[in-house]
Amino acid sequence: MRMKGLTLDTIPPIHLPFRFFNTAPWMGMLAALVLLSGAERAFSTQWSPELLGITHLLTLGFMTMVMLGAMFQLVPVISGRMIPGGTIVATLVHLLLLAGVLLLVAGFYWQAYWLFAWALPVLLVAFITFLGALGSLLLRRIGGGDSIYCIRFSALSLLITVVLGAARSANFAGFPEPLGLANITNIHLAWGLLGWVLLLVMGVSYQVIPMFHVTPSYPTALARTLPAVVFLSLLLLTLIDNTVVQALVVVALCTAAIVYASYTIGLLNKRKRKIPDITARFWRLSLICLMASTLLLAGFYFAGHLFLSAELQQRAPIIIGILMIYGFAGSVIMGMLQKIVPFLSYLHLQRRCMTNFELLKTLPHMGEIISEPRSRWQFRLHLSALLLLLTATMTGIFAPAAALLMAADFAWLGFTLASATRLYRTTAARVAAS
Amino acid sequence: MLVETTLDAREMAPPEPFDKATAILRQMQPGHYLRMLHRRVPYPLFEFCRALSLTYSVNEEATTACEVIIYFPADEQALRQGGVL
Repeated sequence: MRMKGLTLDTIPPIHLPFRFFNTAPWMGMLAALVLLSGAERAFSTQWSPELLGITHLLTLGFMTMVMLGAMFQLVPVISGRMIPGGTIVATLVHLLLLAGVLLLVAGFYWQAYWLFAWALPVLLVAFITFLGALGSLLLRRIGGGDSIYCIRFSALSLLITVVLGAARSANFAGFPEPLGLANITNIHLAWGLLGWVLLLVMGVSYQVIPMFHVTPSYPTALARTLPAVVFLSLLLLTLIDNTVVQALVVVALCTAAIVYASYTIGLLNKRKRKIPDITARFWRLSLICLMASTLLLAGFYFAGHLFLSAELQQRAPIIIGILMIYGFAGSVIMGMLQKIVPFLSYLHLQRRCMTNFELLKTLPHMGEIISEPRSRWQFRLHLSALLLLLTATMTGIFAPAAALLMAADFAWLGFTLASATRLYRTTAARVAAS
Repeated sequence: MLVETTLDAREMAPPEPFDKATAILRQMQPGHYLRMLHRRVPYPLFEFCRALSLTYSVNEEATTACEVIIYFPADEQALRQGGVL
């Protein structure tokens, strides 16, 4: 393909992703406070009000908040096309997502399910606005190759997750479950974590692993097969209520996740520059957690009743959830933020120097925007919090300590991102004044 | 006679390709052009090109790399005759 003279304003304003990034850690912090407030009950069952609140604060408040913000920036950079609606859509989505998450979590935490009648429309408008804007772009023939191919599946999965979540919360609020699906909660979880999150991480990794870590690229056959297998497996899981099909789907999903994780670790081991890199370390931790959670899921599904005590059977889904949410998604998001925020800041500051190129020399380098020691401490805090969360779930003790470490993890991230944003603003103001 | 500068950025991590390309482009004179090899289409660089009144052509034939030619609009004819574009 030969392109000439593209006249695209392909970089959206930095405040769009930054407002999502700067909000997300405080949602994680709130999740830690919810855990601290109900430490003795939170891990008793996966249906405890505290755990449902924590789960949605992490999945919607932290993970989705960052992922939506990143999409506003990433999709234009890899496809060469802006998400339609720009600042208005991003502002609306950000505010509605924030309000919707807080209402939903308040509903879970205080078991005030009438709040869902407010949370649901707010979240639905947020997601419909986002998916409408993104979908209108993804339906077109755009660049971006394997990443955009995968992001299409991920966006569809988000839509299905939202529909299933809405049906489930209507049920919580006392209305009959409208879709008539058996086991709707687990299907909602599967679409959210393996569809929306895993597929988006895959799509993003196809770009950022070779780009930021200078590794070989993913082979197209693998890059296209994996998301198709995951998406079709989830469809089968949703549409066919049959134990044999369900078993095959579990095998297919776990295999796809393990193949993806092991291949990506292999790529990271082939980095051309073997310099210490905290983001690569976060990636490895994330992928190990993905493999561990899928192996545990398969083990629990096929043989859990043979080996586990009744109490452990109740806790196994929570352990799988922690590995998947805090271990896999949380780690990769934290790691990517250490790289993306300095990169975006630097890129946008360079744009501001286009009327005076001499100022380029005065810009802070990426390593000054988020320093390596700061990122290293982020990794230590995150790993410690993860290990203590797993210990707390298995033993039933240490939950308050795990909550405190989790709070420290998110607070550290929040202050790091706030400092980077402040440095960007002061530098941008200095450039503008010159 | 057109003068080519080549920048192979396929094994560079961001923001090195952007930094090196912009450093070259800022010094570039009419009659010179930049041939840049990159793993992906460097969209952010194109805005910089427009600010410098340069134009560009992207050849994304290979699946793992693309070739970008950045030049002065007045040199387009000569680049075509030379088989560069």
